[in-house]
Amino acid sequence: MKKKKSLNIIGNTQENTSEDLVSRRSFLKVLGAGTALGLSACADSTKQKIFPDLEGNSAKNPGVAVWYNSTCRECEAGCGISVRTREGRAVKIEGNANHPVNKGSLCATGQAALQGLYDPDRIREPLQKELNKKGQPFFKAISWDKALAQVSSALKGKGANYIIRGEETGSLEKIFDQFSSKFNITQNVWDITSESELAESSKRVFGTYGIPHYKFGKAEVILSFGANFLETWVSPVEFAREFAEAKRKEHPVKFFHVEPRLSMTGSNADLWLKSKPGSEVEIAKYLIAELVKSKKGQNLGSDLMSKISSIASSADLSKAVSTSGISQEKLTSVIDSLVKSKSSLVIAGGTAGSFSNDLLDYVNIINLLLGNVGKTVLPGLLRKPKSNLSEILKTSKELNAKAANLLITYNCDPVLNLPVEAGFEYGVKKSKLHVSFSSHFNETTRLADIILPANTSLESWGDANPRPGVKSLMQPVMQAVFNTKEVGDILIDSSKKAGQSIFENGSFQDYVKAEWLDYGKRLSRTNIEKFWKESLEKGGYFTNPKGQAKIESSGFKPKSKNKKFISPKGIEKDKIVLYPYTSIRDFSGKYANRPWLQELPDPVTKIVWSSWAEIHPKTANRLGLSKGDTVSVSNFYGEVQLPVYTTNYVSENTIAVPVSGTGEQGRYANQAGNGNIFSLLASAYSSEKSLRLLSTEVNVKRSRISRKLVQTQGSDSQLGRGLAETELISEDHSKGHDDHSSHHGKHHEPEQMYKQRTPAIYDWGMNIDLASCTGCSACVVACYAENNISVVGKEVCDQGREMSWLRIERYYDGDEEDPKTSHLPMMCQHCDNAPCEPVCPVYATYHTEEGLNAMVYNRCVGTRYCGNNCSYKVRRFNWFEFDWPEPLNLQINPDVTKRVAGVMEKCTFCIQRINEAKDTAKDEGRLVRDGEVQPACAQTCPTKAITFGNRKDPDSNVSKLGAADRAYKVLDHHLNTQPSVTYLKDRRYKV
Amino acid sequence: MTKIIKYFIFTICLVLTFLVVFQRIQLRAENKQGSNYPLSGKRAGVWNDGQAALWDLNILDHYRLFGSPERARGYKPEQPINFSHVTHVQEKGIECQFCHWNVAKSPYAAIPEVQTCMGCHSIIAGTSEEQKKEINKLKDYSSKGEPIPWEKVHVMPDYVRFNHKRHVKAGVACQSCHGQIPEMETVERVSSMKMGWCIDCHREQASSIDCYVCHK
Repeated sequence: MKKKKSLNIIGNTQENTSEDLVSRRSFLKVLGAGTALGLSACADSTKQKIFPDLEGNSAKNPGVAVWYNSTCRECEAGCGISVRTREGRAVKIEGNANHPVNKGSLCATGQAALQGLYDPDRIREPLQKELNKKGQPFFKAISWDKALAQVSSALKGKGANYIIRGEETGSLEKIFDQFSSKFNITQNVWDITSESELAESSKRVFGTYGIPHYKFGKAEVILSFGANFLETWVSPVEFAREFAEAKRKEHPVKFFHVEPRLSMTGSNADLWLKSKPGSEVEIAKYLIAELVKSKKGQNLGSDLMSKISSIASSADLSKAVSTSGISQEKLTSVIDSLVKSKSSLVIAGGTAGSFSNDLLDYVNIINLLLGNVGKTVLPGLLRKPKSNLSEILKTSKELNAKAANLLITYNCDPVLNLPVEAGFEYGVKKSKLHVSFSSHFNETTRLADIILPANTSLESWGDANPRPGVKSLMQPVMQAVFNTKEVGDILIDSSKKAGQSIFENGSFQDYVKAEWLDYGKRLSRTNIEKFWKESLEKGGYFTNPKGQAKIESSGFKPKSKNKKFISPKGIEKDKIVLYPYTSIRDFSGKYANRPWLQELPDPVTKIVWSSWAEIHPKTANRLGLSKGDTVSVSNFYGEVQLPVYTTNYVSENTIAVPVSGTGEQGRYANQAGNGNIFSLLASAYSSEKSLRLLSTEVNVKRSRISRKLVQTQGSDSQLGRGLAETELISEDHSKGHDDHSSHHGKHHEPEQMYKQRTPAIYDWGMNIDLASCTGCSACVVACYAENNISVVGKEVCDQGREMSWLRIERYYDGDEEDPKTSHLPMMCQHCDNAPCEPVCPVYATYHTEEGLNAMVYNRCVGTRYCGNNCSYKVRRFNWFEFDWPEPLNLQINPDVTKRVAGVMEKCTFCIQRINEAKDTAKDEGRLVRDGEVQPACAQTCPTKAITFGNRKDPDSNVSKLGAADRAYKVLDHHLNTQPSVTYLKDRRYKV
Repeated sequence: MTKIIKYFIFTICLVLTFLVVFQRIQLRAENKQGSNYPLSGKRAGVWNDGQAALWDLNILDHYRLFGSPERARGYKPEQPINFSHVTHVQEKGIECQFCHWNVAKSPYAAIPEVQTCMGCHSIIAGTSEEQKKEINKLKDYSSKGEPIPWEKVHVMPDYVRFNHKRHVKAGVACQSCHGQIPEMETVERVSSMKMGWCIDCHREQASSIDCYVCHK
């Protein structure tokens, strides 16, 4: 029998000498061969050792989780996180309930930060590039001393020095500034998702640099031009929460979304308007003209109004209709809703916003005209990004012109996501010493001469200021997994070695503490040490900011010229516009090596493990392509191979491609096999501050090689089964005609075949509000993290054997131009009449005393009858035993069994959390309180669409919601399965 | 050929029946003797109305036909330090929870930290040569800053969730499961800790025997 490192982590640190489970499979073999003959087959040892701690304290209680509050640094939103650690290792990330930005929720990417920490392909020690005998470069491990000595000697050398880094805030940014001023280093910030164009536009129109704080909760009508605020735009968790709150109101928010490709955000719109790429400017302009016509913005001042009028004068309805392809009727209904509403919010961003700065300016003007500024748009009250394209292009030019003495890169990947034309790669190769502080490999780090691996954010001290009034603290949640150092410490140590120390009093931890003690003094706290400790415990210091930025809109100049797509040489016919977009699975291409995110189906296309090209069927027909073909997307600059996904919900003559990282990052990214879509972008040497994603025309033809397209959902249609139901509400807020449920109606009580159970104290049930669910898939990742669900890889996913206990089904109703998309989270329904239970020959699945459909793994013999008989197809069979390559195995939750091959598994309603809550309740001599048990999915849901509780208790939230008008149970009226999960119908306006 | 198979199956059945009967007789005899620590309780109800799996039968464990010796009664591994519970508990009268301090606070009854041992043994050096030798081993680990690699006596499978805190708070004595530890020079596994054994006690105490109480 194959020897295996055990993942069973119980009590103190243990090490197994071999398999920890008595192999169930081998046992069966024994039974088959005859009892007496099987003696040797089970002879494998289960010897284990226990290593007690050297020193103990009450906080280190083996078997009891310790939580640390910190800050998520996966994107710039600055959500607070609480990290659950067991026996000194981080096992789960959840949102910090105290934090004003995310209030306890966290997105998929934020939770997957754990897999960044435990990435098996992480840089484990300082590396130096050397050449082997054949002259090929390879990385050789060196000591920290040696590596730091090289950096410090370069710091003393002559010539130009550069730092290129990602967006940082707080103390780390400060120490970077100190370091670069001390050693005379030019500093550049580069991050393609920094949304700096929003801050620029705010400067032009409102006079304040910085991203405005958008208040989605206060708006009655929202119009978005391609800003995917529920996915990656600015602060998705916060916006999703506020959007859902607005949707849950008695008169829900009305949401219009204009974009060329149906995004997850667009799929939540009441009216989705399919526009041709780049045409959003015309619509915005027409909107301004209409608003001016309807006498909006009378209080804005004549100077400003004259400028606005000059923009309005060039607007034209026919042009708006013809360039965008959106009918006049629909445009009028959008404008009508906006004009009538008391408060509204108009936003633009993402790919559309990157194409044209005019669009962003126009949208800000529309908000001025509608009187939203100060209500739903608070200028300058979110972060101020530093990322600047023109400056990094300038640096790139300088690097090419003259070899740099020292180039430091950290937390950025300009070689991947700068246009090829910038020639950044050559500049990097030219520099005398290129030092990377990266903790993971990427395209830029691969070119480094020396790599000083930095700790990830979960191993580091630091702080973040996501917005005024919110000062968020970061602390290490565990010891560094590898021989790495905090980036602050690398800077301090190398400056010390170079003889000009930037911080004398210790490490970066002391630096952060000194900053906070200083901050405490400024707040005139008497006991600043206590202030530090309190902030550390809470995860930061949070207040409500007072006052608002003044609006001095004078700076903007309406431009007459419209942006055009760049048609590089070599393209004659079949002009197709490339529409790259950021997705929740990979943001800017940084997170390609995280298996959870790779195996997470895209919320709209349900594709896993690779990037793809969305093409309209008509365009595909013209090009002779069909779904599953591989195309080569090329232009003058490069070529990318992508599998084709044909969909009606993309504009014609457009090829929509998600931004993704390349295989340089590691094994999982390599398995996904993405191409570098940035290599096609041509907007080099522009004066704009951010990269124009939407700018280029490409040639599309069938490729010679083939790439597999793996999709986890078969049918796009509900086939009239009423799975995800929608309640249509009409303009006057009265309830309209239901599109699905009416023909089912209230059915008579069916005669029961099985004995009906009556749970004694607890009857666990769940409630999912489809009006709140946006499809963001944070719950799916939470489920993977909590329940040790195996990641199976592209091949096995293709066979339909993915292991996710919780999936989100996406269905389309309505026509091609006006789709109504439904997202339906589907997990084990814990049916009271469970079809899986009576068919199990070995009683491995049964009903518990508390109304749960339970699964006893070691009793399961793998007949898969239950899976076949399940009406919801939520049971997953372990066809293989999947491994967690080291150190990914450290993430495994010790409270949940790691399943072996041959066993069926499914959602347990997080039984371990129920047991924990019952345990605490018993200690305190009471029953479990309502809301005390939160399964991982409900805990992390940004919109709080999932409620869990005791159905036996009539006062619990889950009972109350279960009795609501909108409540229904999936397939119950057909099958009488009596699920414990109740869904609340989606609510959409009939537009 | 088929005859041989028939005889073979018949023989196996016969052997199995014999083993069951033999085990019952032996268990009854052991219970009558009134040994120091309670044995595995009464065997009735192991079959659980036919719902128990075959391998939960005590017979398989008792004769070590299946599974590893570490999972069977009588497992008594040699420890890196010859720690004697007789000296500490019986002679010196130290309470269990003085060293295993978190047994009532955590699902796990952890092995005490090296620091806890050194709390006394920085002063107490032992009387006999043998004791001195063992205490020096402890001091070595402590000075080197290494944890002591104890051999685990009670190895449970991954799919079992046993909460020490719950049992201790419910008044279950340590001895009920671990046996007369105070009388052991070297700790030995005295209970089979198989599912049937757990369920027997749960039935006696009228505790829940729902699978999810113990399975995770």
